[in-house]
Amino acid sequence: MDQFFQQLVNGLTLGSLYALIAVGYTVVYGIVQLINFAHGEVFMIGAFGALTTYLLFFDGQTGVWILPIMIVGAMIASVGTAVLMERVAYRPLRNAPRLAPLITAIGISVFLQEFIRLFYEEPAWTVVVFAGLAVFVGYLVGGAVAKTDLNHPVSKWYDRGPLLGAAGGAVALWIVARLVERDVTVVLGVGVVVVGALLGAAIGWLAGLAVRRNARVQVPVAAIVATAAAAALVAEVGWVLFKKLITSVEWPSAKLRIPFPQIDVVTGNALQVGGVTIQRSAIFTVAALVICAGLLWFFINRTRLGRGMQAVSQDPDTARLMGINVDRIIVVAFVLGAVLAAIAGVSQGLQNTNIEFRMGFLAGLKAFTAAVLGGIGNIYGAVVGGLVLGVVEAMATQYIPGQFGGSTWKDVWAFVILILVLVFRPQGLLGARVVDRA
Amino acid sequence: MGGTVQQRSVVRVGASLIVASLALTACGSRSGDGSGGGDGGSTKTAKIGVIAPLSGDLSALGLGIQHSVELAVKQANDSNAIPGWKLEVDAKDDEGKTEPGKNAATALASDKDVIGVVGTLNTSVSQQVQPVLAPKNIVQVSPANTGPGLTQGAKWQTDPQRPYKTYFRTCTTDAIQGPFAARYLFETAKITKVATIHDKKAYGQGLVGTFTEEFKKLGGQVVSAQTINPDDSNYQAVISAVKPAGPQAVYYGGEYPNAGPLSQQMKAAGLNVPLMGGDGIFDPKYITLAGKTADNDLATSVGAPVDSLESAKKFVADYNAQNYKEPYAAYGGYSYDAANAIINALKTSLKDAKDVESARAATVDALSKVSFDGVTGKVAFDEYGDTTSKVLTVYKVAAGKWATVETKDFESK
Repeated sequence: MDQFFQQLVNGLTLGSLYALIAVGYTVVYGIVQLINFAHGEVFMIGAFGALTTYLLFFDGQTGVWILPIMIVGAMIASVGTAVLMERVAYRPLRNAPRLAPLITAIGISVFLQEFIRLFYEEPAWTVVVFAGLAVFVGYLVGGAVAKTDLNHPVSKWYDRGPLLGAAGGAVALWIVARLVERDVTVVLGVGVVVVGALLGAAIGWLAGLAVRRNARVQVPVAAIVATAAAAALVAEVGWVLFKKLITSVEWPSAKLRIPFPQIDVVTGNALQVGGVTIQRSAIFTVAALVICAGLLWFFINRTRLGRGMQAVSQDPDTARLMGINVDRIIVVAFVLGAVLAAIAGVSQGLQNTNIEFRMGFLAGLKAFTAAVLGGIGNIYGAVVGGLVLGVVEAMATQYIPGQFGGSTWKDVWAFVILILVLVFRPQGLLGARVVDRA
Repeated sequence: MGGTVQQRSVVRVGASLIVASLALTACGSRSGDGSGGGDGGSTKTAKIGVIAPLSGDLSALGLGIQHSVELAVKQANDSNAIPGWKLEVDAKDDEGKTEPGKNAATALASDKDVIGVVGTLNTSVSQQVQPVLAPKNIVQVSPANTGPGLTQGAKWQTDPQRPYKTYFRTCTTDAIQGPFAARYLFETAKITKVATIHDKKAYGQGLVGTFTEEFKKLGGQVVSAQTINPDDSNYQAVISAVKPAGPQAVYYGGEYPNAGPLSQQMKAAGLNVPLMGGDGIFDPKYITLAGKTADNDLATSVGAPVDSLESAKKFVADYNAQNYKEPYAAYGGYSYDAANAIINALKTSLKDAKDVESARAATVDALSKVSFDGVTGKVAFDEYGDTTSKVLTVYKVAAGKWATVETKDFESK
């Protein structure tokens, strides 16, 4: 009997992990009818985000207070990836045939895996990110100061030219300055910011002159200066962070498995309840699922944004007519999935004590199975499906003996269940039969 | 309509950012160039290929192999060991998998300058590489394959037959390594109940097979036999299945990327017994992955510890003087010996040869007669192509490092 309870505990732990990831598949599907096959990679990047946070700020420490900060780091990484992914890969294909975003999703998934594999140990690439971020922030600041609607339907590149010129100019000067002199000194730093702001403003102003004939709006000089200054400042702050913080850490190669940090309280000796061993990380995972499920229920049923999500999932066109910003709701769906995936990433890291760039693939596939099992589009279904799948896997390992048994076959049973569900109950355990949707 | 304009612009900006970032980061990436170099025109070139995992989980071992071969070849060139000839290293990545390994072998076999190959790391990869190299008479010397079948055929226990006469190895096999571990556990550590776990790869399965046989013969008891998937990283289910049987040790057949986390998770789940494995887990990475609870875990490895031998000190010093980024790892000494065995054979076979292809057959013969004192002891091959040295060592993790427990010459009983 101990064995039964032991495997039940193992199964529920595994299932909680699947459930946390499965919610990401399900909310996105519920809103846009898109199966985001890159979601497994969002989960993987969450784990790497947590590890990065740990290496940057707490290397060698084990206090439990680190854990929330690691989770925040994981969330930032996951949410950033998910939002960028939505913006770059899915939004342009919003009205394309179903197959197009599906293929993009797989492409993005491979891209993210290889990106982590190749660049995790190369801190230099963060400089590129900071440069891009500087241009972006500069552009946003300039747009806010200019108070013109650059997303207006008749806006053209000409209208944005001065702002992009100013931000680009400031960052370009910063790049040149850093190629010449890499050290960080206060004088040089301030100098680069001031000169960068001036030069960027000049370039932006020239760009404004050049496009004047075609532009719909004139961007005021104040906005150009603000753009250049913001871009120069962000670039310089990024450089200081890079020099002082990022290069000071010895980054492990992601081509190998990387040991995940061990944190007091949530890792360490297992608890013994009768004959059943319960790992501390298992308690963390299950608790995370319970808390997340509770918050998710509250968010969806008790907040404006959550009700907006429900409305969009029922009928996006009517919801739009009722004044709901559908684009924003879609981003919220991606964010929601990414937050849970980040927590799952940390849980898996703590449980398995190691992470690797491939960990998202199979976990993503299992979570997708869990989402379908529970009824895709149904959030509670995803939770139930994840738990069922985890328990089935653990029990199959224990109770199917002989040639077809053992942990070797556990993945087979997961997908056998998927096929059985699709054949006999295509809407899933908790899904309602919907006529007009696949 | 505005929406589409904006979307396109985002795509454009995104695409150009990605291209720019790739271009910029590409500048920073290292080029893994081994030992290219112009030859003076009068000297002819022969290439020694390397097939090993240069990326992926096992790259720590593979890169150690590559650099050790590079070192041997560099020294041979510097001392002009083969007059009129210049040696080059052509390293190919097999990712520790069979398909890339086969491709690497095909690429090397189609190069008319390749005279010999050092590799592979994995037995399963060698099974694919052997048949590609053999028809071309390209010698293959593995520093790390421990599957007995590679030299003695599938029925190696009852009817040993050498499948490929071009294949040699400088390390001892699982036919010895498994029983050696079994004898240590039963006779020295006085352990009578073990559980076995393997990763279903040729290496792990073979190791556990020979271990089990010997352990039972000695009077020990295998209380549970389990397997894992090499791609898994969560072993709770297996550990829960093993634990109630109450083993005093777990014998694991496989490599460190799985063994490290397995050891850690075993102990976190309250199964506080040592994990023992073969040379596949004898790597510093194992301890990094297994964490603080790895103390008392055991491994066997072929040969005597490299840093304890007088002959090896020069190798270690030379290797460190080259400033390779990666350490020589578990198989450095064997790879260096393997490369030197080929170089020794080439001294005879290339002396009067006009090109590489005509010298290949002679190299096979010369290699089977090679005999010299290498880093890991005497380097010579028996009638199957196996090394004649049967020295093995047991290592134990102590205070976060592998420490030598005992080195023994294995005697058949």
